[in-house]
Amino acid sequence: MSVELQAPPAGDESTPSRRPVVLLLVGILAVAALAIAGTVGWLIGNDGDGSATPAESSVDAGFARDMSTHHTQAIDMANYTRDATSDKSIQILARDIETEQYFQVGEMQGWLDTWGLSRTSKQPVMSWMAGHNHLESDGLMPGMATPDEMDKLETMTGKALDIYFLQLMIRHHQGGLPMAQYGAEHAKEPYVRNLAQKMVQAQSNEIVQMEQLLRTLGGSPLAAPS
Amino acid sequence: MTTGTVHIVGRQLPGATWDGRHNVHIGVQRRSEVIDLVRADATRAEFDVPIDVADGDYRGPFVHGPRAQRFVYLSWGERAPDGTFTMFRRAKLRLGLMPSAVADALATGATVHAELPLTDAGGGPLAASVPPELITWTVPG
Repeated sequence: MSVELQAPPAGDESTPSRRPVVLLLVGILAVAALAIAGTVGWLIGNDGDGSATPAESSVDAGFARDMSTHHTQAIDMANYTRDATSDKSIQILARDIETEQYFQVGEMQGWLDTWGLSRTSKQPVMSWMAGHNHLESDGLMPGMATPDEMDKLETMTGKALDIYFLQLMIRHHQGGLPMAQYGAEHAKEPYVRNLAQKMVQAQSNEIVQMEQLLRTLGGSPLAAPS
Repeated sequence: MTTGTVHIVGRQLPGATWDGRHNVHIGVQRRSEVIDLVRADATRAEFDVPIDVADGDYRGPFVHGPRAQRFVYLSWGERAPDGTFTMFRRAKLRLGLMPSAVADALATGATVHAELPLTDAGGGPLAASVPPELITWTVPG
């Protein structure tokens, strides 16, 4: 027996049936962008001017790997909350974050494949951010929820869930912002800088939106990552 | 890559009514879909979960979480009369907790068993990371 989880309502209420088409288009564009990026990368890497695709210890590779890990947790939080919440605004927000970050992880993993680098690495976490590579005291990247916090989230429902999700996701975004900012400024490849900059903008906007939602629900933010 | 199977046997189900919810079911999560639903007043809930094993890592549509923290989700939800399933909490069966002999058997493509109670200390549906002492891992045969 197989039962689909209750389909979440579409973000754009007037055109719910167009969402799969939009997602498909986004997917096609992402693949096309990747193909172009890969070709450009190959051309640059082979035209003898000394530049090559990003190396194992580059900002580009570190950003792609660590941001993928960071994103994966946000996807996990959003995936649970999307299905468990009864609040429509939270459901739409969670689905948007999940979809956006899911595509971004796909793009970043694609770069690593194109560059001939493994998706995981023995490079220390955050070592690509010179001077900013501090981890939380528990060894997690900035803003990430601890395993206990993730477990707690997945036992919650109702308003308590909505507030806790917003608290964790605001802090998660706050921790991810300096990583994206560093990538936008220091990555070698223009398409890496471009995606990092998009993350800065999207996550900054989402923080404002989530802080408003949190106030509406009567919650207050957790301490921001140091 | 080889594909083994984790045969999950859940005992002590919490009952189909909990915290104002009715017709509670448990299923195993395949990507974002919960399948093989069993009503939470059954005497046991059994699931066969295929797991791909490659380079010491677990993958496949039933495997969730980042590398080194892979787990299988057992998801609880309410089943409406029209069949719609609405999840409200879920438990994580952490694959890294398998004893090494069981992990080795799984990596050869064998079926291994994981038996656990599905009711938590408060009498509700078991949720969050399942403590290792609650899971009995065995290699049958």
